Amino acid sequence: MTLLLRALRVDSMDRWLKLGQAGPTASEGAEVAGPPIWVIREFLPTDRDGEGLSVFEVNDKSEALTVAAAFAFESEKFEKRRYVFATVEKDKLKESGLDVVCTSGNFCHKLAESRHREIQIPNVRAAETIARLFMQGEIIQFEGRKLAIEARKFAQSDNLSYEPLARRPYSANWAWKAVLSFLGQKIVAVHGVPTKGS
Amino acid sequence: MMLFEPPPLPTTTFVVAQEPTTKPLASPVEDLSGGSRLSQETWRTSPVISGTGVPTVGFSQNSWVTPNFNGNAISLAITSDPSSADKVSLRAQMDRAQMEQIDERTQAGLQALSRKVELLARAVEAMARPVSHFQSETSAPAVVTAEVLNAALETGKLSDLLNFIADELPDTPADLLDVVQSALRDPDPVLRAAAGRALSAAYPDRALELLPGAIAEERNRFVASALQGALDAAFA
Repeated sequence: MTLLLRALRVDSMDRWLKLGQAGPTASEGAEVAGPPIWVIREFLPTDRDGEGLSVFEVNDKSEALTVAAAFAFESEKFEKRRYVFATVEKDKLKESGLDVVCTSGNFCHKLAESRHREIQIPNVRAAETIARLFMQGEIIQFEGRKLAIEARKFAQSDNLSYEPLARRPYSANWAWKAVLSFLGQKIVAVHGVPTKGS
Repeated sequence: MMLFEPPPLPTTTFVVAQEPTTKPLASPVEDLSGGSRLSQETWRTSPVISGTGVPTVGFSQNSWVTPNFNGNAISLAITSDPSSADKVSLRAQMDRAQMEQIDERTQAGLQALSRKVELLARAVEAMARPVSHFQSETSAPAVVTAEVLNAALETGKLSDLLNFIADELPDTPADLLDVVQSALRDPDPVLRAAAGRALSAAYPDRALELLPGAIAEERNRFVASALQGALDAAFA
């Protein structure tokens, strides 16, 4: 089952939780009336999106965790946040006649980068459809502590590309610290500079 | 707030006259003003006496003298050519108008600047505070005591407090367990999700016991997802 993930704003989580309470009958009624305006706003492309709505395509929940950890790795206080994603099945989206385009994002993690997609939104009706589909889909929530462990794991692996991170205008301090420590490790490994341990 | 006291206007209109051949000196006023420049021929930082022979200062037929104020010093200018006097007089008046304009602009700029500094200071102060979802009159508590807990219970902001505990993991001398357990059965979905998160953060061992049952009973699928996330974090 191929899922498309869209990161939700944590500020709006309370409203999402109340929306989940509605149950099947009330959600059918909501379907007739259309999704609330704040839900539609969540799924409109912002400045950080490109032309379409920026999403990530994953095959299972463990890949979703990797994408979330990549998100967490890009933010500075990742241990103190939760990451919440709205999901929709890709097939349902295709049935509604919406296009999903493969685009390269600007992401530091190689897997997340390769899974980046954009949903094309040609008109307002399409935006409403997307909002409704996401509203009917599941929500996946990750706690920051779990993501921090995952992010540390892949920061030590070879899955990160540091170049987009270093090019990032914001959180430059933190990014450069990561880059420098990475380079420092590589240099030590290559030249065999004796460290304290050895 | 007046920073520069404008110079008093002379009651009698004197006329500035000088030979325009001297090279202009750099005036500090022009550096401050940024935009409009004062006429450098009439506004000087130091008295300049030019001309041939012995300079005469005073009211005579051919040389007119006026004190000028340029913010720093009085300058005197002398000419022996009365025909340029009219032009220079006009220029002096224009310069005064410019000067007042600059004064106004400087004051407006300074006010804008002080506003900016104030806002910046406030932003720095806000950034120094811990980031949290716990929005209240006072800043977020570093230690969650029984009083803080009771206050949150009374004001109905328990979900905010629990989310704050889950995010920040502050010291919690107060016994949260009973409160969290009752909150897990609350009709409010926001409170249930927050309780699950706080339980996972503060008591991971208890979360492993309690959360699976709570997830099984949960009817709200979004809350169930939040609880599942909390349970995963407790395992980690």
